[in-house]
Amino acid sequence: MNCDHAQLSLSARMDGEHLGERRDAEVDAHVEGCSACREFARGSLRVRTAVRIRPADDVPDLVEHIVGSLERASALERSGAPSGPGPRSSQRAYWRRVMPAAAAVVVGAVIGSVVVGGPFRGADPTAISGEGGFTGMEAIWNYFYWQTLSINMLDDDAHMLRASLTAEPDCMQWRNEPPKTPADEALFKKCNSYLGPSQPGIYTADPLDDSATSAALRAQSGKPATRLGEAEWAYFESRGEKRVRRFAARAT
Amino acid sequence: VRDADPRTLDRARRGDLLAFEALVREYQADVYRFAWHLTRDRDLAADVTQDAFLRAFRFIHGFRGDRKFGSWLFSITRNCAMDSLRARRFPLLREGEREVEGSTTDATTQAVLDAALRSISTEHRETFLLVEVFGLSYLEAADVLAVAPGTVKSRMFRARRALCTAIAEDETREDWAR
Repeated sequence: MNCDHAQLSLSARMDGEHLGERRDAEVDAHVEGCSACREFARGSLRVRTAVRIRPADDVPDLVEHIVGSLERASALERSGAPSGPGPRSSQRAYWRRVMPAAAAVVVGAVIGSVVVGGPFRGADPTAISGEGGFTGMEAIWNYFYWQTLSINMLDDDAHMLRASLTAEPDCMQWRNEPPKTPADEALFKKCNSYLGPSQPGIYTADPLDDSATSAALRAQSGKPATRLGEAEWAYFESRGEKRVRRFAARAT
Repeated sequence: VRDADPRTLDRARRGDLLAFEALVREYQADVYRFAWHLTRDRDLAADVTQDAFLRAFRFIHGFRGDRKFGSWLFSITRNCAMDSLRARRFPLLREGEREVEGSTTDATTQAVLDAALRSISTEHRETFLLVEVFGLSYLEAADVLAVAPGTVKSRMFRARRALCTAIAEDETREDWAR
């Protein structure tokens, strides 16, 4: 046993820690023949005595003060008012505001990777070969992703992320501003056209839109306008899906 | 550190302000002393004490009673002291750079001890205070400091050795001066 080990054990023993009989005997044997360790034991006892016989610290009576603060804090809490913008509470508020956006970025990056390319990408059945931009599926993802960030007043960041993840560089509109020049206008139209063929109102008729443009598109597609979901309903009905029937029975 | 009366603690946990006031009366001196040892500033120690009790009141419903109330309160006090010192841009326990006030006495030993306490590192001092001055066990001190009991054991040993050395050096200087 060396002096460090012996003094470590002596110190622990002074504090009421049990070393075990064998260890106690080893320590005692070492200390008996070691003047440095005896000096450590003596010095430690002197320190203890000095600490314990110090006059009591002059402690101010803070009870009334503390209780008054507690009563005010309780009253504020009952009234629903914030108890004061401390640094920690404002930090929490900041994270409460930012966390949904951060979560959206992570989820969006993973989904975006699946949908538009990246490490998780699989074959995209909605992709149209030879077409640029993003498909209907991508547009739907993009919408939810962007909305989540917009709610947190991070539109511009969202726009940057959306554009850099999904569109070609020309379509990166850094600000949500209407186009001001003819060149901007052309770019705006081009990028909007990338919303894809399955977006209502772009290449197909918007069933809720009775304007001349929509009528022309309806005529072009050769399909009658339907309300949203009507086509799907007709499809399931034609197949006689039991689940649909049960659902319809419940709904009516 | 004494343990709190379980009934008072239970009532305080359920939001009883009078019960919590009883806890304040019981522990405010210890909390203030610990805060003073950490900050070495009377006003700051009073602020830290108040802040610690406010925080304790806010979170006492979550205190499960699986540790001593005193240890729990000391953890909060230590956090409050660190926050206050950080906010005032004071390094924790660097009181050698500031005027030391408070529980000094004329006795040479006490003055030497105070100086020796100031000369050891922050982590050794707070460990020493918890165990030697406030009587916490190694387990309780480890709980307050969020370290392993083995760390408390080695810190206590190093603190004692540093204090013994500081006091011995001071005595040697005194002998030379005579």
